[in-house]
Amino acid sequence: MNPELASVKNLYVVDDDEAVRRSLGLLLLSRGHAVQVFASGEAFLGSADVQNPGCVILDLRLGDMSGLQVFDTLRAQESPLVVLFLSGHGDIPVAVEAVQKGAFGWLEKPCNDAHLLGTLAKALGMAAHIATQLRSRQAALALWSRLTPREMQVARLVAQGLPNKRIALDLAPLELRTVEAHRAHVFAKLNLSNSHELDRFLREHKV
Amino acid sequence: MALTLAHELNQPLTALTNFASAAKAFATQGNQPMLVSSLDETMTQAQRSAEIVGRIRGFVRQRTAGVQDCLVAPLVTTVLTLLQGEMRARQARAAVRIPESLGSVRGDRVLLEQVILNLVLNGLQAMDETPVEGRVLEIDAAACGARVHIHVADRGPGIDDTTADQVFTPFFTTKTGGLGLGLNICRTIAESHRGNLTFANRPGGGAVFTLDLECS
Repeated sequence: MNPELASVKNLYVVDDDEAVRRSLGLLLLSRGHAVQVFASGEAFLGSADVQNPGCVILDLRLGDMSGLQVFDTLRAQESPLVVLFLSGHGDIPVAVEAVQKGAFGWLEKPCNDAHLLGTLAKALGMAAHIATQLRSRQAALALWSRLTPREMQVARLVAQGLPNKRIALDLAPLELRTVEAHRAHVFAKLNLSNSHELDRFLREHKV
Repeated sequence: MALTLAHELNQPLTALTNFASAAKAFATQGNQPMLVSSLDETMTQAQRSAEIVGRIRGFVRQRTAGVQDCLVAPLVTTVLTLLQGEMRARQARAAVRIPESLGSVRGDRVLLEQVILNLVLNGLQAMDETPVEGRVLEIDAAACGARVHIHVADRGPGIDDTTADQVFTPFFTTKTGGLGLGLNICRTIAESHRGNLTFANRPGGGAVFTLDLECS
């Protein structure tokens, strides 16, 4: 298995049919994936780690809570999990609707293994990408949090390309020399070298 | 009936496919104990599928215990009403010829409707590639001694020799996403009515299915 995909640790299967659930678990296990299985949407939302990146294979037709409801809950909680739906023959329109709402894709039951593993590999690739993005955002936020409130204020104006003199006026009473010092601190603390990089940093990490 | 059946059967078929795939991987890895247990699971799921099909057959037999006299024309009318939307969507029409003098048949109304519905739906689907003006499904019925023959004839591609051998084989299908059980169940229903279901290609193209039932 691709080492990048192996780095995605959270892989879940949610299906209310015991045999489907177990068989999918075994199939994934046989290909080296560690997987956690759940019999209901409630059980999954109750104990899975939905705030960390990973992938969930979710049956559309579950007992009390439908797969679509579970999906809506994940979205409401801003979960980074990549969702792959399992759907029966008659449920394709529902699956298509879910994909339009942001699910990664769907697998029709019964699904041949090459297609299943191929789609899952893509979904895990997406999960790994999301994990990388989240990590870099967390690192950026950690750097940002080392700035003082005044430095943050100055940083935003520097990113807009304003000269020190103008910043001193905008934030008056503030001395030009102090602005110069703040600017230097911002670049040093964030590990950046110019205002373009600073602008990109703020946009990329939505600080 | 066919849809519930499809959903119910999908589960063991999905599990069976997955267990078989796991078995394949364990075989390559030389993991003997896991291979054996996956194969056991595969058999259990095949058994479960067979039981579901068996239950449908049992259901058919049970229902035929309560037979009644059914006029053919109303059976066909009910089916065509149910499939109105389908016909419109497929830009096809039906031409029905059933003589008023035709007697009734003995049978379970719901099951006989199910058979006719399946035949009509198959016929409609078979004509998807036929030019629109030629998409006419002919349904006629005639007495033949003590029997009644109901014909459902389409102008699709007909049935080639290789397909012909397998038309009634369970899980054989030419449709993407099809389950391959419709005609098999139809024939079971016909036979449980002491009747028969046969098919032939038509001169001029297309296929005709004949449901043979006894007069009441």
